[in-house]
Amino acid sequence: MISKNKRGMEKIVSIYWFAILIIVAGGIIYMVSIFYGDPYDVRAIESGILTDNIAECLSENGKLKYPLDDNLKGNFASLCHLNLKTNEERQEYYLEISFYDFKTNQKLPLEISEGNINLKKSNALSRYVFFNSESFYALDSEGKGIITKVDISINKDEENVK
Amino acid sequence: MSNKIFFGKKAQASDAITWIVATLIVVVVLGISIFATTLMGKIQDRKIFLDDKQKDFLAVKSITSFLSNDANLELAKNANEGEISNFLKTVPAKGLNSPSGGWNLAIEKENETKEIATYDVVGVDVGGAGLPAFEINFESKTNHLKLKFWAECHGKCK
Repeated sequence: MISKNKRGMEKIVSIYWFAILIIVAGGIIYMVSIFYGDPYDVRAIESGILTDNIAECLSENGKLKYPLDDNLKGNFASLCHLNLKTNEERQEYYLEISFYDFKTNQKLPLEISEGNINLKKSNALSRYVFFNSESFYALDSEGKGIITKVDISINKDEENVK
Repeated sequence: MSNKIFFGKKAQASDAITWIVATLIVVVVLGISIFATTLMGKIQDRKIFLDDKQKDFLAVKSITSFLSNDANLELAKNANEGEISNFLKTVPAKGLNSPSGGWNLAIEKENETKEIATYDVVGVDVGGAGLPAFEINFESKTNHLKLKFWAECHGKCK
């Protein structure tokens, strides 16, 4: 009678033991997935690299490489070897480059834009679109200081945002 | 016989209670851990920044461009504090790259170092000496000029 009870007790104990094991393992898996499961937002780095490439393309030895005219506007992507296409049908990038006179702060007439216009800061509907704006100084052919402002918008929310 | 059964059940009940209590404790501890992890997961910064931002490409490009102009280089040679520090001060105002701690610019001329401009963004303490400097050598026919240009960051430059 007693030995039968002990066997039953062992069964109950082993059930509890497995239940605790499952609970603890499940809890650890859940915690790890909460902590590491969300994507990391790498768009800041992405936009930084894109801006650096644009700066490298437009400015050489401290001077603007191309004259600020319609030829640059029309052939910007090919001149700078930029390909903003992604695997998705919709374009995920938008970039806008504007030029300012360093001394007067006046905006120059040339403005270059590439990519999905819907991602422009003033047009973007999604609150998850990432915006970045960086500028650099370079001299034009006449030795005049020009500030080149590069505005970049990146969507790619599914890959970078919870 | 009935006594025997009674004592056996008592032992079983106490064992079961021990396991139930143990399970409850495990569940409570796990619950607290999950809650803490959820909170930490929410507050942690999911944005990634590069650590090595003391050498900002755009900022270095800007300052080298500025000094590639003969007139501006002449200002640097003469260690004209006003004009160059004016340029650096306009950097954040004009949207040019600027780290949170500000940029430092020093010019070495004939073994004499002169910190001609150090500006900081309002509200950020700029101290920390001994940071590695990004050096650009400007060699002209008449003068040897060494320009040190580096970011002042505490911890990580973002």
